[in-house]
Amino acid sequence: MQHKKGRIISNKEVKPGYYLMAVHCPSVAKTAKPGQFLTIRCSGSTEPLLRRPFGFHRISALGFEILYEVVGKGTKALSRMKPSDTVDILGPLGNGFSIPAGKRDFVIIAGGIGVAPLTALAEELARDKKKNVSVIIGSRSKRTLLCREHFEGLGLKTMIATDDGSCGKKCFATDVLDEFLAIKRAFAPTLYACGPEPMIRAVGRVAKKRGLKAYASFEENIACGVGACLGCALRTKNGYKLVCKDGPVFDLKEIIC
Amino acid sequence: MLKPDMKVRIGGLELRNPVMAASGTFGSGEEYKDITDLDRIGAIVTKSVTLKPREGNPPPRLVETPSGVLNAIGIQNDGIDAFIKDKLPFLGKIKAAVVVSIAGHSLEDYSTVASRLDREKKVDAIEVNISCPNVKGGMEFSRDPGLASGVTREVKRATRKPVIIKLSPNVGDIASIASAVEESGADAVSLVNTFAGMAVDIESCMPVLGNITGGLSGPAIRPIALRMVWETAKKVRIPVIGMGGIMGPEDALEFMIAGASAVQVGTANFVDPGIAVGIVDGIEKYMRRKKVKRIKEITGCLKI
Repeated sequence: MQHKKGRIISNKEVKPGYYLMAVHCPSVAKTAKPGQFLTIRCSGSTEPLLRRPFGFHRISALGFEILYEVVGKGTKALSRMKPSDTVDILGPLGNGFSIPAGKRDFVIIAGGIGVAPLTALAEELARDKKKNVSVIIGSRSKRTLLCREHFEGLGLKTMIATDDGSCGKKCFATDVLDEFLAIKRAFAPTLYACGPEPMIRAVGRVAKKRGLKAYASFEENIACGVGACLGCALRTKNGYKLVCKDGPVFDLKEIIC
Repeated sequence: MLKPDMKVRIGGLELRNPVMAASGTFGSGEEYKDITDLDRIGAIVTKSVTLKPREGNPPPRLVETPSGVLNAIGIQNDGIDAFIKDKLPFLGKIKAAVVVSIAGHSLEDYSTVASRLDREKKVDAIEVNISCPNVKGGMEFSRDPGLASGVTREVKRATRKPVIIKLSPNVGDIASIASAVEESGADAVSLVNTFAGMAVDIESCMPVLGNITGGLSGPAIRPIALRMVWETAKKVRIPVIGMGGIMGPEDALEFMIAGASAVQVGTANFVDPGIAVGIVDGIEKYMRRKKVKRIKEITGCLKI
């Protein structure tokens, strides 16, 4: 964990309301793992006050990217930042995705902006050619669909579900998952999910029904990011856990789905 | 000019400088060891510890409000035994003084925890949290001068370490509560804890916090906290430790000029983990510029 200044390389609107920011910060990038997150101070004033958390979208030797949706004051301020501006970074924070040794098959399930940290994971998994990785992206519509080309560019089978049917199937990402798992017998992939909580819980139920290992990245309001304020509690089967320190990635068998 | 003397005394405790990390915002210090210099802060006040473990309040526990943070953690902690075993060893390795915050439901809770800590060498002082707005009965002791005095006497009997009573702003006359605990032997008072507050989600028509209400901190409360510190410092002779939305050295100096002997930095730690050290440096710079030799000269120098 480091508190550093990074330099913005680019900050572009990639879809209406969604931005991709690339930051030069080798020291943080060097220690970051897929599934971990960082917090950024989005303004120098007291409004917004708290730092904002973002998952690492892509990680390279020199820096990282974050993909974010403009939803409030923090992300709005961030979207106005320009290349060569500096950002105040705290990270990497949290645990990251664990990749069970010896497993070959993986399915990534992304809902909305929840796709952001899953690309870093996909890149890591795709580096091992023996691994078979499939991706399901759920989105409101074609207009807000993110990262499809990215996953396809990695050579991964990518399936789409939209609420309005404007792209892929008109259903939930978890419906596509259910169907996909039913095609091949004895297909027992490890599942990774990030997105709205109802989607995560649905993935958890699918995993339980089929006896699959499943991990999901959770979101909560984050204040300190380092496990000090105990503000980001998540109820688990083993009592409250902290999203910032024990998570943000949890084994779904720990979560009440 | 020689290096300004920033040492302050809180009862029998001497701090290297007047800047303390406030309880509940700094864990037990270890959480911040990689991102700030714990040797340069005057003191760390640890997250409140209770006799028995406490699970805390249901989430969501925290939400940002205009220039502030509303929280309802509910004193989640593993209990005094685990604190002594798991948290204290690290605190012995740093130069910041160690102030342990304690909380309880009964006089007996407070005195048992205080006597347990009395035996621990690494503990420099005890801060008694009688002002948490987020647990049932957490604030009752600080709402009534008689009850506040009772807790103070009980804790003083249980320990020889300096005792700081942390006061709630959710009272009619905070200075009279401060006077009451002073008479009962408190070595210092710290104020203010958070203001009881609330936020509502207009889409779901539900309270934002799982606990319905929470405690407001951050710059939003600063002018009110400052006024309370000023009123209290006029009334008591024991040191007053001021806090409430301090974000930088200028804010800390406002509290000291109004009468605080030391300050605590809380919410600002979330915004900038290095802020407490920055405030120490900023106060020193101010002292050099104003040619102030000893920090004591700043406390209560308000000209009216």
